[in-house]
Amino acid sequence: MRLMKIIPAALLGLTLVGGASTAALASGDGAELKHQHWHFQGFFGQYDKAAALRGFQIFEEVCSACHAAKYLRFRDLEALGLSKDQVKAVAAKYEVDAEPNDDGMTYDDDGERLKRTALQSDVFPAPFPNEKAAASIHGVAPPDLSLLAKSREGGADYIYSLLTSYVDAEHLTEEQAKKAGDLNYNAVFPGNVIAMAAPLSDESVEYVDGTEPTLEQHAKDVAEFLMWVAEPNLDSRKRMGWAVLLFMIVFTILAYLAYRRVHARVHEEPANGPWPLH
Amino acid sequence: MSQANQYKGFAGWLEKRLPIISPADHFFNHYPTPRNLNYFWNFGAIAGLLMGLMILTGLILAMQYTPSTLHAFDSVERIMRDVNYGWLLRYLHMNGASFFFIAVYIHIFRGVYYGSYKGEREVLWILGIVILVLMMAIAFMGYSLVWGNMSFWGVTVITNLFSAIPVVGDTLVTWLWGGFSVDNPTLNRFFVLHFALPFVLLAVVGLHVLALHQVGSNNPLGIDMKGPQDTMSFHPYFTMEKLFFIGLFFTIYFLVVFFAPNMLGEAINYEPANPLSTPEHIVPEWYFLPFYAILRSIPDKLGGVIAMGGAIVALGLLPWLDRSPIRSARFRPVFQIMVFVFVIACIILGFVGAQVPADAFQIYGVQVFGSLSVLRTGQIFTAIYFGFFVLLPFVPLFERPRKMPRSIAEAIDGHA
Amino acid sequence: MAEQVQDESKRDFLALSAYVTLGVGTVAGTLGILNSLTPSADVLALASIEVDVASLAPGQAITVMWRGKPVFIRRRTPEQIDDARGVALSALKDPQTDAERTVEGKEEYLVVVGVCTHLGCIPKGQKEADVRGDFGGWYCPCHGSHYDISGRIRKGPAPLNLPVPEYEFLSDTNIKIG
Repeated sequence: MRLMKIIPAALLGLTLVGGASTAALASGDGAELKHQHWHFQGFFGQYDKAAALRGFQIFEEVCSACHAAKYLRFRDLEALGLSKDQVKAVAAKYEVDAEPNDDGMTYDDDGERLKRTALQSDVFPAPFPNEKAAASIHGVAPPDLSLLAKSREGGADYIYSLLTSYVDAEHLTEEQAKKAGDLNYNAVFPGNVIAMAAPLSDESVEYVDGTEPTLEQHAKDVAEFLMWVAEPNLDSRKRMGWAVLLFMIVFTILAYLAYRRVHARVHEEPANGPWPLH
Repeated sequence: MSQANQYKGFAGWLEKRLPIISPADHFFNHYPTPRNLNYFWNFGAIAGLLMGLMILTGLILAMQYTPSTLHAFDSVERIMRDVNYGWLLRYLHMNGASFFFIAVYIHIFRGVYYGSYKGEREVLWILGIVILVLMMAIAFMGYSLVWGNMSFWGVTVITNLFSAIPVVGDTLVTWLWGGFSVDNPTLNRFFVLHFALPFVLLAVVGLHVLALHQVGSNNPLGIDMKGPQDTMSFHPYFTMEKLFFIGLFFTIYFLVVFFAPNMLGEAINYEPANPLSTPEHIVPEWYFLPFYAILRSIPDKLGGVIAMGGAIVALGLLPWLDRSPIRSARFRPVFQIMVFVFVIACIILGFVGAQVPADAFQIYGVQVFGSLSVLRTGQIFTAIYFGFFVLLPFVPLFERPRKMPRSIAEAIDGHA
Repeated sequence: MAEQVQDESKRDFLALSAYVTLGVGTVAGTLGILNSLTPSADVLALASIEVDVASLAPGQAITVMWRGKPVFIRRRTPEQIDDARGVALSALKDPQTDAERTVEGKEEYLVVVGVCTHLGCIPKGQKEADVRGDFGGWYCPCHGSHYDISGRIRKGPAPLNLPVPEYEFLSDTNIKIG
């Protein structure tokens, strides 16, 4: 009897970890990731908004030259603590494709795309007009960054590790150099040969908030930012999660007590049923 | 209908015009339920509740979703980012599928272990298997709607299974796709089916419950109820217990939804579908893994498809394969061991389905069977899976049942 | 007997609180789900727009889309303003002065939602060549409602004046609607 009570729990647990392991096992090769402590991890973790904003600065100054983030809208930055006016000012630095003008034209007489100043509601503009144009430089199109932290095994750890695991040309073994060819060698990237040259190094970006601009700091901040872009509702999700969890615990305890109470009568009363309803 | 209307007030008024009060009353208050039901008997109710939640969240999600290859992925991201509580609805729905399967798999295990398919329960059991098949179809098509890269390749691989059918296979696949590859017509029809089939499922679940109430619940002893001394009223005794278990189960469910919503999913599905780039490992959702493992264990394409289908058909044939008059595994020492081996085989097949066939089989990095390859492990445990069903008819020939009480009341009270 | 009654009530209280908790949870969940159907963040982000009217000459009009509806912006000539101000309130079906419908100091610009208050058609009158009705403003072709140069209903079945949206002048020629 006791055994039969434990089995459902055990089965449930097994199925859960079994399912979870699917993801873990599927990831396969690639070097060990450099696991970092992230502000957003764990039951209480929330985003470090200052770090994410620094990450946005890196994204603006470095990443966005080649990478798009098609789900990032300027208005989203309000969630990182920028005011409406600050968001407007950020957006105003960029131009996006204009809507057709009164003559129905989207190109001017020289064949140039008509542009207008970006608004808060606009998507952060992509560096290339289409995938072919994006692929023209390195042969492969730089991936869109808006979901990268969720679409790569390891998430923020992977991004951090990738950015900090480039090996300089002079430090490559002969074999590694041969493998890399004209491209770049990265210890973490699957297959080790990556088209993107090391995008960050010490002092790549001069932080507005004066944080020391080391490569590790840059990588950490941009990973925090990209995680936020991928999962902007994480903070509110966990907050609501706690409320729901507390509610469920209260409900389950009440239901348990009521259940014990009801069944207590079965054991108190003599054997002859049927046990009445009311 | 000859008996006088026993209900008062509004219930009586309504019953006279629409006979729904008496079935509900019967359901909760006059359904004789075995006294000795254990915790396993809660998972049917949990599964039913999850089905309701899935239909509800699905209905709302469908109002925000766009079934077009151009917009599907974007519309899901819009739900995640812009729709109020959209992320919650989506995570509830996405993980709800997993927990629905957890509940149903435990429910099926209980049915097998306690022989709940015996004693005029064949139709009840078959309806249950129909529910399982419908759930699989619905879950599969639902997964495709996200239109991530794993969605796309999952659909491609699984629909290609039908091409194994001789002569008509290729025509059939083209018909399924509505084109020459998985594309917009495929997505559009899968959306419609994913929306419509749950209501068919709902109807079959209704029949399943109807059949249950016709025959009555089985119980851990597998002995029929002989009289009122063996029964308790469903309400409040079992409703209260179910409420408690629903609380427990949903607490775990919500833990995953709110704190690890992507734990059970594949990361690559957050990349939009790309017909030019196949993910390195195509892995179905965890609840399909054992079946996927069986499929891959057979080196022949058609053979694999037949084996996979056979794995479910065999479950449906249980009432006829199991010839023992005794229901509960508690009194059947051989059958009891067989069931546990069967469950272990299913779990191992689950791990097999997630791994690359040529690699050495492992569980959490431990090569439990030495250097045995994933493929071989899969084949061995596929043989065990089917061996269970093949052996079953012969078990009564040599099995010596344990001593059984004469009635439920005797088992509990010591006298009948 | 008394003990049993007490027992009963305790049981009922526990069961009742479990039911009530369940009910509260269900209601909260349902409200959350219904809330998801209210305008989403991307819709709300477009709820206010800015319009540059610098290129608008007196007598001309432009139409802009705002919250899925056309908004008429007409730059009125001094004669038209005088015309609009000279109407006695008693002559109006939905009495409103022109001053109430414009921004002080910016009376030149009339900003109204271009949806007929009768059954939701789009009135004519934005283009020079359009029929502008008996009062020189707008004319709804569906059921013949005439609006004056202040967007007020003067003749026909429409019950109310064309509504004035919430708007402000951010600069001399930049209007923020919504």
